[in-house]
Amino acid sequence: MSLRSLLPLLALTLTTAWAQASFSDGQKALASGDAQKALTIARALNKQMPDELDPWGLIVDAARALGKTEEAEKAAQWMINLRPDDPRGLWRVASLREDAGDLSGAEEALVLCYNRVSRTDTAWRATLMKQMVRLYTKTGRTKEAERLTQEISKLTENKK
Amino acid sequence: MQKLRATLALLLAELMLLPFGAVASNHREAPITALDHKADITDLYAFVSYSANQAPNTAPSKVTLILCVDPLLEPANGPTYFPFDPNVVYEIKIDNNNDAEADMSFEFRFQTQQTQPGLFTAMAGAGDGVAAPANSPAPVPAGTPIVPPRITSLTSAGLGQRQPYIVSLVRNDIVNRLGAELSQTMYAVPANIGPRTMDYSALYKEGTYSLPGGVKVFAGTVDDPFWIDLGGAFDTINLRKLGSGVPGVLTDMEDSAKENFASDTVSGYAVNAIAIEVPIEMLTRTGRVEPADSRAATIGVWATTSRPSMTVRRSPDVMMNSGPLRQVQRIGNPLINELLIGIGSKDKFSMDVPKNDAQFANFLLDPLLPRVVNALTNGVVAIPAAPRTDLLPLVTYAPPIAAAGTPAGPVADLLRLNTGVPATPPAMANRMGLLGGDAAGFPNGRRLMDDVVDIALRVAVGGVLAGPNFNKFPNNRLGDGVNVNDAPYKMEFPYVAECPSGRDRRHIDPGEPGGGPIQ
Repeated sequence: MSLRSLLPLLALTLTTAWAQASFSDGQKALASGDAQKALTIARALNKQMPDELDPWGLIVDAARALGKTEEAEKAAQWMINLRPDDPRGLWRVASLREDAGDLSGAEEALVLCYNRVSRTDTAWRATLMKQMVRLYTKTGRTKEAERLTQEISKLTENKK
Repeated sequence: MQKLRATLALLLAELMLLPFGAVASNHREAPITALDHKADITDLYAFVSYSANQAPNTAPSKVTLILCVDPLLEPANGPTYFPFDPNVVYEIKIDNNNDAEADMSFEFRFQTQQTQPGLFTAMAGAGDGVAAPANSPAPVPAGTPIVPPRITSLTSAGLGQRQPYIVSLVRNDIVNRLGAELSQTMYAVPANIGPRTMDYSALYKEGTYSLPGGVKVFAGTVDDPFWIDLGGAFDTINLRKLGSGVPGVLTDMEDSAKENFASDTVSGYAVNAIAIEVPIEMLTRTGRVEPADSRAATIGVWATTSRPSMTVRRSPDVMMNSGPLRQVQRIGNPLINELLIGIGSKDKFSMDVPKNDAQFANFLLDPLLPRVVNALTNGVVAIPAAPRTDLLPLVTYAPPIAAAGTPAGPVADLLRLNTGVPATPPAMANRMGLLGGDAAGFPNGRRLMDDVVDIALRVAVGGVLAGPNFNKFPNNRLGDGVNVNDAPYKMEFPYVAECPSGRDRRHIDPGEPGGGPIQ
């Protein structure tokens, strides 16, 4: 097989590698507090691959950190429109509803999200459970919050 | 805000352990309609209505709109067959003022009724009904009705699963049910199980409803009116080698023949169709039938399927929470999403609105498909350079479809129909539509008999609209070798052919009579 015939394949690989590197840069920018850079990266990625959920997710997260609620909500709506049952979108919906003070709505989305996460995905399940503990606490359900906190301990213990 | 940032940072720290795309198990999702057949739109047709004895230049009076969904239905595939999805809202939308936004839409909603819950299949029937014989084991005595009579009506007892539906006209957010004054319930026509079970022709006729105001509607399982060598097209454009000796290039004889030289992959398959015929006055912005040279004569048509949706912000009114819909798919021109839009943008394209189509302009102005054909034929099929402005008439209001002076509007994938152009008498219609000198054919709307595959190959790939350098052999003879549908269309509304019999249907494969060569 000649190098020439491999070029289209190579281009495809580079595109994917570029996307992965860009996404990783965006995540790092957001974690280090540079949400504007993360948003710029996320928008560019989204333009290249509008059917992929992760760039949409990064838009939600970055816009949310910048207080751009409308952009965050619009992106989250695209996520659940494109993949209604995907936990990545449902998790963002839960977070945005919580921001807006719709705690029962946040709980609804969080439960839907939790039920769609693999049982083996301990890290993410724990994250979602912690978010639920916060919702329980905010709504005064301390017993449920305590019970769930114990569950999180068990989950993380089992992982060790 | 600080608290929010802290929370985000915590969550991100945990999520950052996971690579791009690995936070869920379904990273490589197929485009959404591949997973949602009931909402999968196959084709949209819009044309000035005609009749078998249509005289040339008959003044247009009505337009027929047909939306097909749920592809490649095998008519023998019982026992539940192919109901429309009651959770899907099916809509045909009309833009009549050139802004690519819906000025009206026809909305179809279905319900499913089970009238024979004990029966093992959705439909059953034979003769005048069949009773238990003399040796029927207890506790069923001889003479007890076992098999219901042959289904001859949409209310026959053997039709154990039936679907009433309503059609509404939505204009300015006001919903008016069409035919509400009729006491009659409208039912979708079921699949054709076979001759013992039903008189499908009678059901087809009964299921064609005339409503007040000159409107007719039909919904049901019918022969798929589309035709294509699907295998040849999607095996990386591996079309058959016919008379010319060049794959995908027809001889003059093959081009003009009303017969097939390759396999119609869709032959013998059914599809669910929704059809409505309305007076043209109902569609134009002036409320009149406009002459073809009027700027108000051309409408833009597209269709959508939508499902109830969760929304990020919930309405404070809980009764509103079931209201929002998410669009699953849309269609304007045929084959745009299938052949031009990149696989990573197909769902976004499907779910967005036409007026936002400028975001997909790169796919339309420098499509990959022509480059693929150019490469696969080693340059035998030369293609125009980008930007492909020759394709713009398909995505704006422009001559030769719209009258000169019609506002072009935004780039938008709409099926544009000049309602003032008289229908061509069926015997004189040319499968190549406008390319073949037939002013009433695609891309001026789309009729059932328009060969959109060959037209797309010649226009999008061959660039025949880009000038004489491209409007010549072999570009103007590109084709898949499938020229006609396997079943003849009707000559009156709803025009679609009857559903093939599940018992006796035939799929015409390559190598079989009528299926062309395998090579």
